[in-house]
Amino acid sequence: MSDLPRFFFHTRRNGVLIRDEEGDALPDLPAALALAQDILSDMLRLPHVYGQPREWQKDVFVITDQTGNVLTEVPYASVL
Amino acid sequence: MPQLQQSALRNHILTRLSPETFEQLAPALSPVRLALRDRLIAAHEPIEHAYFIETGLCSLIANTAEGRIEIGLGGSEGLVGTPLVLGTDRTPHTAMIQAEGTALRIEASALRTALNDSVSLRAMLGRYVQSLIVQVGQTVYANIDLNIEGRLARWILMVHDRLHSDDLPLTHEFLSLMLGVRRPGVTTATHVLEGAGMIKAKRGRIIVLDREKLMELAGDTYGPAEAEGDRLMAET
Repeated sequence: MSDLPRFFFHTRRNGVLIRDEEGDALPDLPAALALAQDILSDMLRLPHVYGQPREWQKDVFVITDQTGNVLTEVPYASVL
Repeated sequence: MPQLQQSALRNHILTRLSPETFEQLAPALSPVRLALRDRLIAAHEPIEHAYFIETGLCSLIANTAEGRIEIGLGGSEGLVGTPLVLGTDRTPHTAMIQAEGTALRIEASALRTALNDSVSLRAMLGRYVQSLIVQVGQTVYANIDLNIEGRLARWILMVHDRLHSDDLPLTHEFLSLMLGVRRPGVTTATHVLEGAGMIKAKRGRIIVLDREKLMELAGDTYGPAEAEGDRLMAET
């Protein structure tokens, strides 16, 4: 498991980047995208925990690799 | 082994026992170190020892199909191994050390004997079990009533109470497990609490800056269990 690369799921909110300092060990970018979708599905499913979609739908996942290179962005609203 | 001095101990149960009751129990107690992620109780396995926690933190964890979630938290106020007090030797819940520390350990059979011999020990441990029930009830309430920020605030307060330090060793991955939410949810909630001046977040650590503000955010989910725990342990 420790051989896998780490992907970092920073969140951009109102122009501020909220940094993910820990990341997840995942096989590849498609796995990272699947995890992002999985997390967003949970957020949509559990508004009493994560807040109503209107509170977070403008946020964006900025997924980077270990060196900080931005691999892709996933708007939270993509799940809506 | 040097004799245990009751007055030098930190465990709230042991320090509140009458000297006579403590003397009866003391020969069965042995000091042990608790390392991070030590499993004191494995789900559905016979419980061989109970632990009076001196320092550190232990979580009771439910293993669900979707992962693990914390359902109870104990430190020097308590005993890990409450099923033994209630007359059974196993539970579906795991007990795991979340902050290293020390404990006084007692064998299950020795605890059973001590419980049979001492009404006051039985009463004291019964009151601790009651305080744990109240705590779990408040957690149910918090999980229904609060968003992640509120739950995070409550949980930080509970850990702060038990670690006696403003500098708490908490990773987001760990908080995610404890609160039963996705890690990015913890990351953004931490950011919100930091923005409000309640905490300072460092890598793998959370530093408590303003307890009052944390208590405001947690509302009445935090407080009743703590007050009741104090009341129960003060009863004689």
